[in-house]
This record gives sequence, structure tokens and C-alpha cells, in this order.
Amino acid sequence: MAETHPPFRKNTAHQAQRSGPWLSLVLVALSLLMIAPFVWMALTSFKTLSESSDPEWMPGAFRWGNYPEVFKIIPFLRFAANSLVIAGWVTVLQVFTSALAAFSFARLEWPGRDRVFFLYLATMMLPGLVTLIPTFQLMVRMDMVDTYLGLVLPAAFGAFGTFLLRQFMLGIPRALDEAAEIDGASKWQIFWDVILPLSRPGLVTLAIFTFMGNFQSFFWPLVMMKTVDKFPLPVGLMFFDTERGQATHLLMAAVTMSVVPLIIIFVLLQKQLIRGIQLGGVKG
Amino acid sequence: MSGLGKRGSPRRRLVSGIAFLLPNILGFAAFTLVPLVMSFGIAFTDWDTLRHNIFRHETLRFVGFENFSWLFHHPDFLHYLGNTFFLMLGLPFAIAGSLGAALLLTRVSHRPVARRGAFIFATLFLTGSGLLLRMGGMSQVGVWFIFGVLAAVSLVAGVLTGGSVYRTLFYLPNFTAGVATFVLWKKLYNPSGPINAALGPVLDGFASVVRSAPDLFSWGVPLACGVVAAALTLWQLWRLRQHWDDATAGPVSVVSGLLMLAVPVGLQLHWLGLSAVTAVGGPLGVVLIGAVLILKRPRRWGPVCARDAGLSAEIALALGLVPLLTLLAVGVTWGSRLPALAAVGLPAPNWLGDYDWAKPAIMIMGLWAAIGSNNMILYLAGLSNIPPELYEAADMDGASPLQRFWHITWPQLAPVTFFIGVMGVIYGLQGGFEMARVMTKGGPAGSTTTLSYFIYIEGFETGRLGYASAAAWVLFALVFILSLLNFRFGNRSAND
Amino acid sequence: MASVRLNPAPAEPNELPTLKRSFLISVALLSLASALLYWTVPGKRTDIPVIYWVTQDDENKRATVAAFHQWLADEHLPAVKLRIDNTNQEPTKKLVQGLSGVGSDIMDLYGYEADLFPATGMIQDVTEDAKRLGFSPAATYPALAPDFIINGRQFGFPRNAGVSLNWINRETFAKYHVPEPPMRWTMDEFEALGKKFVAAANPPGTRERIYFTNLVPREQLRRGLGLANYNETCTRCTLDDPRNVQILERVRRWTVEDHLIPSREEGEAMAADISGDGSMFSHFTSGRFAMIYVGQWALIILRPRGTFQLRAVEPAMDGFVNTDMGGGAVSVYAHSKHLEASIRFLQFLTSPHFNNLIARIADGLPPVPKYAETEEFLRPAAHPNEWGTAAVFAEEARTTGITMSKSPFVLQSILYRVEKELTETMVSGRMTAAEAAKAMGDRLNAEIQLRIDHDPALRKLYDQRVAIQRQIDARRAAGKPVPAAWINDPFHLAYYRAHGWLEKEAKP
Repeated sequence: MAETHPPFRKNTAHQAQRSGPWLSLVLVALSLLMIAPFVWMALTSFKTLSESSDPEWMPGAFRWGNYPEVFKIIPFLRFAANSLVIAGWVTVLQVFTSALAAFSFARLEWPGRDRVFFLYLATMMLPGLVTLIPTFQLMVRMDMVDTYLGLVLPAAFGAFGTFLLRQFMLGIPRALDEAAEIDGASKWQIFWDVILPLSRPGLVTLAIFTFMGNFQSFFWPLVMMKTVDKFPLPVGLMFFDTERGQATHLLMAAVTMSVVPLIIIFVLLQKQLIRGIQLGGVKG
Repeated sequence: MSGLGKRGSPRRRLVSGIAFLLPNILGFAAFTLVPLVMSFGIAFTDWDTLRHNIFRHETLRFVGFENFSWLFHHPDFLHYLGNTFFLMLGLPFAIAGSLGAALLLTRVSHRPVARRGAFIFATLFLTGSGLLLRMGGMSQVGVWFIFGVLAAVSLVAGVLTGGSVYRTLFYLPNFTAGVATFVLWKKLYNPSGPINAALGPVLDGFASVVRSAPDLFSWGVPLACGVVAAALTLWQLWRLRQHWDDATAGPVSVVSGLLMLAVPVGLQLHWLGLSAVTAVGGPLGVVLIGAVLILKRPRRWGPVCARDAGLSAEIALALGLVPLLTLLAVGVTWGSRLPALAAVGLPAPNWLGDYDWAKPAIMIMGLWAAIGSNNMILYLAGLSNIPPELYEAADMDGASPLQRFWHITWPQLAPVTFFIGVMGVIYGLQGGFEMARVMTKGGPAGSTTTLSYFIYIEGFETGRLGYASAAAWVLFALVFILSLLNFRFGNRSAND
Repeated sequence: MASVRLNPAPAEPNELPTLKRSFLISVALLSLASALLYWTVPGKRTDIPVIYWVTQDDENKRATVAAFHQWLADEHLPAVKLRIDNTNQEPTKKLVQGLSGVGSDIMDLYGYEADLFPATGMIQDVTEDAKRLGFSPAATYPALAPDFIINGRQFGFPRNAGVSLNWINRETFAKYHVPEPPMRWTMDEFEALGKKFVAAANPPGTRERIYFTNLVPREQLRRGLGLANYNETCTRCTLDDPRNVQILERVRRWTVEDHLIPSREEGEAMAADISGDGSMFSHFTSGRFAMIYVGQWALIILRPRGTFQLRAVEPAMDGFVNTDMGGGAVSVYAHSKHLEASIRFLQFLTSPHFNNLIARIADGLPPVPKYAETEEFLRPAAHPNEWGTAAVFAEEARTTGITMSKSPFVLQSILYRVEKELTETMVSGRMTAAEAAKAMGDRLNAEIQLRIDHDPALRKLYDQRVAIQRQIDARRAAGKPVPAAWINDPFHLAYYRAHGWLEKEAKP
């Protein structure tokens, strides 16, 4: 698809000329550095509990049984599904509402706009811990404790997404929407048909960030949820911490498994991201 | 330029502006703003969960700024504040790391050789690891073998997929759940754990080198570090003066450049055993004198220069310099002890258990997580948005790679850096709570207690919500001021 | 500048729907998945009420639940279903949920929770019920009462009792030909024997150091010298006393110079896991700790790991021998929907059903003392290797056990943190023992000041107690006895009683 648009290929092509074997070496070395802890994690997941505290990386023998063991201790799939659905909804809501808000902040001119925006941004600057008790009390009033909704809603309307997409939309040339407006398009049409498609890399980026962040969120779900069957994965992993110490080998097996769906999702979305970056390479 | 929506009355514009905002702002108001306002109120009361809750309805007292004044009387509040800022020194490294990673990744992103590269990679990876795992029971050799195969597989896959494999690999640290990452690193940092196991031979080798020439090291290392640090400091001073003379830097930039330079100097003085007053006051005095000396100078190229011109470049440079100078100060302070230590063999650090090493350990962990982080993705997006014409023009002028970077890439990335900087400051100053809870419990001897962990303890272990809220709002004020500065510089450089 | 290269998007007609289509598809998929998840959450409808108990989920707790159901049936009480809730143990979670009215019915309270939670009012005051149903303090060890009685009101009942002692791995001592410590010993004896052991166990070139013990109980050592964390009325922290300096100096020497106990750093290095306790037992069984300082519940963990030749002795101390007494307190949540049934659970803790169970599994002493006298408890047939230890634990609980000092003006969590942090700082050489002791006193007294400044009720209590303290000090200076009712701190009470400084107490 990219080859049908030579002008946009240039974007990266000019830099690729310089790549040589040394570059690959550096990249491979860096990659190994990034993977190393994961290799350790994966290897530990095959150890026995007593081996898991050895400095030795390799297990004495590969205990595949650790993996079925995980499923015996926790309903792993259930937890993973909970996490996926919760993070999925947060992502969908976040991306959609943030895109709307960002459009308003970046492309519409209304009195008081920038002040409202800065107020928005300022709310991110307060540590979430202090709002924990007020938010929790709000949840109690709204009868949302121990519900999926109570995990989705408070996470879905942050200022981060709005900020990110606003920055993205500021980079899209004004001429585009002006042209559309002259053609008699409504604000909604401009948003839906002009800005949104051009913000694609921003949207995908935000989707990735939001999903990853919420798939891993721990503290809020920990405090909010009471029913085991509704636990998201990070909270569910607490089951490996017992009075008698931590079942490190099983924990590592569970974490190894939890990484897999994320990698798959990332690889899928990343394709979009790359395409998006190549096509959305427009800046004013 | 007449912007979109400039048509219509202000009223109409307001209505349509709000209409788009509505879905977000409703949820936002309900779940963010309301609790926020509540917490602001709490900061001025003596709200104590022990006495004010659904079980005990004692009257809430308005105490004005009492909570805040108590904060500054707390024997450790300033210590924790210092910890928080010290850990922030890692931020420039982290930003540089993710920018570096993004630059590297952009260079390789050529056309994928095969569209199904990802699948090939996955298959290769799986068969590779499967094969390896079949050969269970191997020891250290097996680990090297695994890394060899991984290297080969990622190289092949890198060629096949046009580099997107590296992107996934770099992004790996983001895939583990937060708490799991901490558990993982706690294990890695175990004094007899994998990191020290790898470090042991290196240190032994280094120790024998030091032993062979102890005198050279006892004065050589501090001297070398000192000389380099002094040279860098002088160079930066000279640069500042130069920019002032050339009217490419305004007074605001000069002063903030000097202030940042004062940070490592102050740390150095503190480590050399001077009292806190001298360590803070001395450098500040020098800044004052330096500022006067520079600002008094007549301008060669006439007076036309905005007050904060050149601020962006100044801050960028200073942010890079500060951590470097701090490292050099570490060398000056502790370098001379090397031979004595090496005589008995250099022990690998007890990372999280040692007062002095705990903070660097946490910063290294942060760096690892930051290189391939969300910031890298943002930089990737930013890099691909730079119009190639700019580079082509530069190439025609015969610009060196460094010049290309400094004059094209860096300014063009300003909006991204701005975003990352703001978010980095926001999350950096708030951070450390989960980490402290899981990894160190704020220890040893409070060396990893950040403000957010302090807030957690005050709010949830001691139950003083009013006090915790006050601490949080102090933190807020700090973040706010830093962000405001960032905004000034960011908006300016974004519009440069 | 880049306006030359405009809008790729409109040129790509099928680009537009892809984005939105994938968005819509994900929304649809999510809805489907949520619906599935929602409907498959198992319903909890049962005919009889269900109450939840926040505790660990292990076979012993499950046996306890079964025993409770049996007891209800035997006593012809209305049936309830008790469920273990091991997912809500995190202290923050308990606190936030409890304060918001959605806590679990029955909670185990650990450490600082036993202090903080009742103070918030979220724990049911069971004083009257205890009298009615027979689980008042008189039912258990008298020394344990301060653990669940706050200002004369009862907030729970222990589900076990016990003191912490030094467990000795006899094989380790035999291996290095070092004599075992006596039942009662002084700090100097500890030091001499410890040095001998460490020298024997760590010949030059040893890579993994072997320690004499995992820790020494600083609070108990101070008490040995007659010093508690607070004064008699708990209105002042007394950790700035020279006797504390003496103890801290010992601790530093034993850690840094003699290597009898691991420092925090060394302990960190030995920790096999993140949560700490687990590794202590492995090091004990593998011989890296000759002794460990822990309660009788250690047996729960040691039994499945093998047969070890065990003994239990008092921690070494000078002066007034005392041990750290504690009980795992169980409390009832004030907003429990099944208050009556939950309170019945506390009554169950006094039943033979429960006490015999605890005696069998050796999770500390049964809360009701008489059940610790059975042959099965003292000499369990299956574990001859631990014979003798149970009797020591029971005896110490009756004679030397004292609960920890608690002041209504300072939360335990703060005391722990300040004491631990400053001790670590001192051991690492950043402070002298004298400086650390002074800092401990200063900080905790500042904390007391802060608390009473904010709380008028506490202020009143404080003023009353300070007045009493003055009278105590005056009487002590004059060598006159003091009424027992004046003394709030459990250690001082025991210390005064032992020294005959109390006025004649009327026998109840």
C-alpha cells in the first residue's frame, strides 16, 4: 500500500540509506538488554520454588507443570478476560471522548478555551492517591463498588488522552478543514471526515497507551473489587503471595502468560501504527 | 490565519466547542473533578479517618494552613522532597534514552522484505525456544545459547520485518504488569541475584586493574572527574556568555541555565561534607554573581532579544549536563576510595539494601523501562512527521549528522519533547509509590521514600487525610510550577 | 512549511472506513464479551445468610470453617455459611472498604490494624456481647487483654495466643560442636556463645555467612532493663533513655562487628522472596540461622518441611525477663449485615471445637488456656521431635508474656516505622546510638503533640494522664507504692507488680 505513494515513502527512506551492519548490531544488543529480564522471567517460570532464589538463570530441569499449576490456583483465563474487557472498554471510551474533546481544544475557537484546557491538564498534576478515598466514596454512593463499571468509568475520562490528541491535531494543517468548511461541511463532518482520519496515528497511539496502562492497573481495582470472579489479572496475581512467602516460580509463569496476549495485540496494532505514521506524516 | 470556527458569534462558537467537549467533560467532572475539589477542601481541615468517617461523626475543623506548616516542620518532609527530586534526575536520561531508541528505530525502518514477517518471527521464536527448552538441564552455557539464538532470531526477523520487530522488543518492558515488574527487578537486584552474578567477574577484573596501580586511581579518578566536570561547567558558562553576547539568549534563559548548573555543584559540596546551608547557599551565591557578571555585559549585536529567547535550547542542554555532572561529582567524592576498596576485592553493590545504591538502582530500573516506553512511540511518531525536504536541504549544504540533529531533528521534535517533558514531570514527581510499596517499603533508612509514598503512609497508615492532602497539594504546586515553565518554553519552541 | 504535501487521507478512499469499522467492531466485540462475563459471574444466592471472614485461605482455616458450622449445629444455633475471604487482606483495601461501609463481616487484624481500625469506629464494640456469650477477657490469658481491649472496651477476641521465643535447630548446634543456649540467659552469654558459634560456623573463606539468630527483640531487651516504649501513662515516649542507647549499641555491635545477626542489607541478600518471612524458615532448616525468633505458629510451616530437632528458649536479656505476648485478634465489622452471626463466631473461639483444633495444628496456643494442657498439645504423637517446646510456650505465656506497649496518642505503625528506620540508620553507621535514641524520642513525642493538638478528646485524656503521671513520679521518688489503676502500659504494670511497687491489689 505504501508503494502506491512514493512521496510518503521518502519520509523514512532517506534515513534508511545510512543503515549499515553496525546499526543492526546496536539494535540487536539493545534488544537483548530489553529482553534479558524477560528471559530470566521465562526461565524462572520453569524452576522449582527453591531454585527461584538461586543466582543461576537456568532451571535444573524444565518444570512444565508450573503452567497447569497456575490454572489450578487461579482462574487465569477468567482474570485475563476481565482485564481485556475492562481495558478494552476504557480504551474505546477514552479514545472516542478524547478525540471529541481534543478536536474542540485544538480546532475550534471558543472563549475561554485555553483556560479550560489548562485546568484540564492541571488535574493530572495531583497524585491520584489523595482522590482515592473521595472517589471511592463516590463509587459507594453510585453503587459501583465491586462492579466492572466502577473500574471502567473513573479510568475512561482522563485528561491525558485529550492532551495527547490535542497535540496531534494541532499539527494538522488548518487549510484542510478550512477547505472543508468552505465546501459547507458542518463541524461534525469536519471532525468525522477530515480530522479523525488524519489523526489516525494519534488515535492508535492513544489506544495502545490506554490499553496497556489499564491492562496493568493494580491499585484501584485492588481496592474496588471484592468478588474473585471479577478480578482483573494484576489483582489476581496476588494469590501467589501467601503467608508462607511468595510462589515466585508460579507468579513468573502467570506473568509470562499474561504478557502473551499483550504482545499479540501490540503487534496487530503496531501495523496500524506504522501505516498511520507513514500516511499521517503531515505537519503544519 | 483565520482559524476554523472563527465564524459565527462567540456564543455559537462556545456552544459548539462545549458540545464536542461534553462526553468527556461529563465523565471527567464526575470522576475526576468532584473528588479533586473534595481533596482540596480536605487539605484545609483536620480530617482524620480515625475521627471523621461514617462511624464517628466528629465535627470537621477548618484549620487553615496548619497542615501545610506542619508539613514543613516534619523532620523528614524535606528529606522525602529531596528524594523525589533526586529521582527526577533520571528523567533527562530517560528522555534521551527513548529519543535514542526512536532514532535508531527510524534508521532501520525500511520496507519489510516479507509482509508476514511478524508471523515468521513468531514461528522462529517459538521453534527456537522450543528447541532450547527441549535441551533442559543445561547450566550457564544454556543461557548464553539462549541469548545467542535470540540475537540471531531478532536479527533475521529485523531484516524480514523492516525493523518493526525491534520496536516490539524495545516496547517489551511495557507488557508486564506494574507489580510484576517490581517483583522481577527486586529479584534481579538481589545481591546474589542475576545482575550481580553478571557483574561479579567484571568487578573482579576491574579490582585487579586498580590494585596494579592504586596511586593512579586514588588521585587519578577524582582528578579526572573533577577536571572534566570543571571543564564542562566552564564551557557551559562560556557558552551562556557567548549566547548572551550574541543576543541569542535572554536573561531568563541565562539565569535558568545557571540555576541548573548549580544543582550538581551543590550536590558535590553536600557530598564533600559541607552543611546543607553552605551546599545550597554557596552555589546560589555563585549563580547570583555569575548572573550579574553576564547580564551586565554589553551586547555586541544590539539589544533586540526576547527575555526568554533560547530558553528551549538552554534547558535541553542543561538537562543533559546536570545528570552528567552529578555522575562526575560521584566520581570526585568516592573515586579516591577505590584502591582501598579494591584491596579487599570490589563487592557488587547491594542494590536495594544499601542507602547509597537504592536510589541509583531505582533510576536504572526507570531507565530500562523508559527506553522502550510510550515516549519512544511518541518520538517515533514525531520523527516520521519531520518533512524529509528539511533533511534534503541540509544534506545539500553538507551538514554533519550532529548538525542535522541539532538544527532539524531536535527543534522539529520540540512539541513531542514538550509533551513528554510535561508528562515526565507530572508522573515523575508523583511516582515511586507503587515501587516503594512493593520493592523497598521506602527504605533503607527512608532513602527511597518519595513524596507519594509519604502521602500513602500518612493517608492510609496513619489516617491523617487532611495532612496527606496538604502534602499532595504541595506536590501539585511543584508540578504546576514546573509544568508552567515547561509550557512557556514548550509553546515558544513549538512556535519557533 | 510542509503544506506542499497535503492530505493523503482523501486520496485513500477505503482508508476512512477501516478506522471506524475497526472501532465499531471492537465495540461490538467488547459488548459481547462483557455480556458473557457479566452473566457468568457465579450468583451467590443461598437460603442461609453468608458471612465473610478476611483471613488466609489454607487448610487450617478451612478446618476452622468446618468446625464453626459443626459448632452452630451442635449448639442448635441458626445456620449461617462462613466463607473465607482471602482476597481482601490488603490493609489499605480493608481500611478503604471498611470506612465506606462495605467491609467484610469478620476480620483478622494484624500489626498496626489492631490499633488503627478500632480507633476509626469500624470495628464493633463487643463488650456487652462478650459478657453475655462468655468470650470476655477472662476467658483467655489475662496478659493478652490489652491486645483487644481499648480504653476498657472490647473489640474482638484472639483466635490464638502465644509468645515469641528463640527456636533452636539442635542439629545446627551439634554440627559446629557449640553448646546449646540455656533456657534463660543474659546478653553477655548471648554474645559469648554467639561469637563462638559464628567463629565455628564461618571458617575463613566462607561465601555464605551463617548467623546465630535472625533478629533480637529490641523492645523486649529494653524492657529487660526496665524501659518501655512509653512511660507508665503512655503520655511520653521514653526511647530517648540511656538504656535504649545501651541496647541500640549492643544491636549495632552484634550486627556490624560480631555478625551474630544479619543487617538489613544482609537480610535483604538472604531473602528468597519479596514478602520476607518465608525465607526465614528455609534458612533455619538449612542451618544458616542457628535460631529464629518467632512464635509457636512456626510449627505450621516447619512440620511439612521435615523432622527437625527443636527446642525453644527465652530470648537472651538482662534484668527483668519478659517475652512478647500476642494473639491473632479477630474482630467484627460494625456495619456487618449479619452482626449477630458474626459475633457468634467470636463466641465459637472459646468452644472446645475450635480450641482442640488449634491445639492439634499448633497454630499458637489455643485462646482458652486449659486446652493447652492436653497430652495431644504438649506431646503430639506424630511429632516427638518437638516435644517439650509446647510446654515452654504455654509456660512463658502464663509467666513472662507481656503484650506490646501501645499509646492512645501514637499509632503503632508510626512507632514501628520510626524505630525501625532509625535503628537501620544507626546500624549502617549514619548515626550514633545516642543520636538515634534521641531522634526516636523527639519524633514520637512530636507525634504525640501533633495528635493531641488536633483532637480535643485526646487532649483531655492526655491532660488527665499527665496529671496522674506526675503523681506516679512523686510517689516513686518518695518510695511509696502506686495504685495499679494508674498505670496504662502493660509492661510497667507487670514490672511494678514484680517489684512490689503497687498498692495492695484487691483480689477479684
